[in-house]
Amino acid sequence: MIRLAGTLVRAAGWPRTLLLAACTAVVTALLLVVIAYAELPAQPDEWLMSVVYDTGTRGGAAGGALVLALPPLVLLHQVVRFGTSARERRLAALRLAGATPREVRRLGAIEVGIPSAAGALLGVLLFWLLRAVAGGIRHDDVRTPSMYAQQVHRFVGNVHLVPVTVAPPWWSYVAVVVGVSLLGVAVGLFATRAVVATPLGLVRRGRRAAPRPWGLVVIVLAIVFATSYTSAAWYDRMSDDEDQIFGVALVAMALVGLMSLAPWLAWLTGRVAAARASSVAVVLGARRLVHDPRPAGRAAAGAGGIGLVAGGWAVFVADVSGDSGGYAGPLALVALMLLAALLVVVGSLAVHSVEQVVDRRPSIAALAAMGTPRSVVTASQRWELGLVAVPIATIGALAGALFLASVEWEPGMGVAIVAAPVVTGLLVWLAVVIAVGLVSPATRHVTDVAHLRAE
Amino acid sequence: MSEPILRARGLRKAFGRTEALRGVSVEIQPGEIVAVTGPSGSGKSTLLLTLAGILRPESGEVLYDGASLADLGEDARTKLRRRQFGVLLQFGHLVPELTAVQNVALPLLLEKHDRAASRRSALGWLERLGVDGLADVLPGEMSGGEMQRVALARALVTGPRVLFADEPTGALDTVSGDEVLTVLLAEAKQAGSTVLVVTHDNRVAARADREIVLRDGAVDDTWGAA
Repeated sequence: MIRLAGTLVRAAGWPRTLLLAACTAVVTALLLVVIAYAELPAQPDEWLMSVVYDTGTRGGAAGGALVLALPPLVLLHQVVRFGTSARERRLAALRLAGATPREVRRLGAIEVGIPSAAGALLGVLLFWLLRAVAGGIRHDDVRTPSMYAQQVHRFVGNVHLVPVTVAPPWWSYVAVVVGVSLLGVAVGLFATRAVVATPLGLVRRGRRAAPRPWGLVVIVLAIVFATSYTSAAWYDRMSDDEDQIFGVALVAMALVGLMSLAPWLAWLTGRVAAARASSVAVVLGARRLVHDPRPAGRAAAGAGGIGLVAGGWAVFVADVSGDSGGYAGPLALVALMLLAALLVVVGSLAVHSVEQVVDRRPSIAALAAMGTPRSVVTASQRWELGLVAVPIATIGALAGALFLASVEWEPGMGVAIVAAPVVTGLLVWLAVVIAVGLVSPATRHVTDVAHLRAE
Repeated sequence: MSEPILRARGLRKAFGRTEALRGVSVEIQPGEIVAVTGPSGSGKSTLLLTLAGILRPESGEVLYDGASLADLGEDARTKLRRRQFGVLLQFGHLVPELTAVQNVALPLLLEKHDRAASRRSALGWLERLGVDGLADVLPGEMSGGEMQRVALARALVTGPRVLFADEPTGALDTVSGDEVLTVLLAEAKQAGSTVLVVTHDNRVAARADREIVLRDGAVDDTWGAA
């Protein structure tokens, strides 16, 4: 069975395998960083950035690392979906060859599990690499830095984020590697749950109902908790640790709410745009969202998380603008992390976009044959992604900004509350343009009318 | 005899080592209904797609109204297909997310027609083809014959001078195929369109004005000589 799954992995192509492994490697490394933070004593024997060194902000740093793990997880799901048609044909061929539905499902899970496990193991190496590159400086370390270390330092500056005096216990490595591998398998099963294996090919289950805005409930709950945060009587009785856990939990709630809201938002914006548009590109993009909003919603969900953090970041910058000296490093770091997360979202959007055009190859080639310019097909890809990614990022940024402003209002925050959603929306639109640009060779290939049919 | 609307001279086209067309020359008169027949692999579809400006030949040329398609850039060929040609394929290839009326209105919207007027025009064509009841239905919920009628409406909605149909009844049962063919020929006659239809079906060929038989990538001149 494993050998057959290995053959399927090779058939899936190296780009997909490498992307899967890269996603789980990043998630593993980030989880190990979080565990290392938990191992740190109140007074570490090393110099670390204040956001990690101070117990008051260490929980937030751990939360930030966990938040950073979300975009790779979303990308992991997208990559699993990548090449779904070809994957379904491979699995259907196995059914024809005599494999039972259970065996086919198991093979599908193992096919994703192998690269996920390999990536999780590489994640341990990545964690140790992070320790070497962005590790703390021991109080007793008086060695002269090597040339290599000096070179690295020139690039990363004074980034000392990963503890070096403590390490995650051995069992936590095992737990994280096994857990992340299983997570990959679970995502593999999740991505194929909508199909049923038959010997004649995998048939999608019937049309699904439109998504519901359940995410709003979670967001409203987070807002209610946030509002009560400063006014409730129990606020004063909370310790620093409890305070941090409460804050991270609120951010997590808002993130989960926003990200689960994305498919519903995709359906809603698609419906509104399709009802009013007369441009073919908008009609095509919007109708794709109405017809099947979940894939685009999931692909763009990370943009909501980025918006939330970016909104909070902008308000915080406005709050400390007069006294930013002590915060300059951590704030720049958060900005870098946001940029990294945005790059992951670009990848997620690009994977979704290429999957869409490949899955619709016959109808897109027919559109080209009847005289639809390639630019219209490309614009429809931009609209499909932009109609969900930009609103979810804008809403996220507004929510993040209001969330932080509600905790402690300062007059200077007003501009940030307005600017954060606008700038975030523009940046995410730029990410959409880049994502669609990245997959333009695939789009060109699919719209080549020479592929229509030829004897 | 009037000037041919389409003329192909010495068309050659290969896919890898397979030569699909080997020096094909044909002429199509305005308003003519021509069936292109021949065994599988004889180059029928390749000839149709080349005449429609979809495939570019390695050598030889296609003239439309006396002008060579080789002189047109990709944009100009795209606009030519949109404004002058209609293309109907074996499986319809409708956009799965769009309803029937939205699919039919697409070519008009591409020409920047008003949204409401495009919809009215599309509804009119659906009615003419007897599928107006499916206006708001998605392709996935239609039968093969219904899909092909909607695809035919999409091909005819711009009033094309030439309709290229590649096995338009190939995926349909006998009854549905006959219905689609009858509608296709009647509408083309009424609009004065030229029709080039690739088919394996002798009954389709029998209803054409003329038949071009291909064999091994070349026109079979011996066919019908006896």
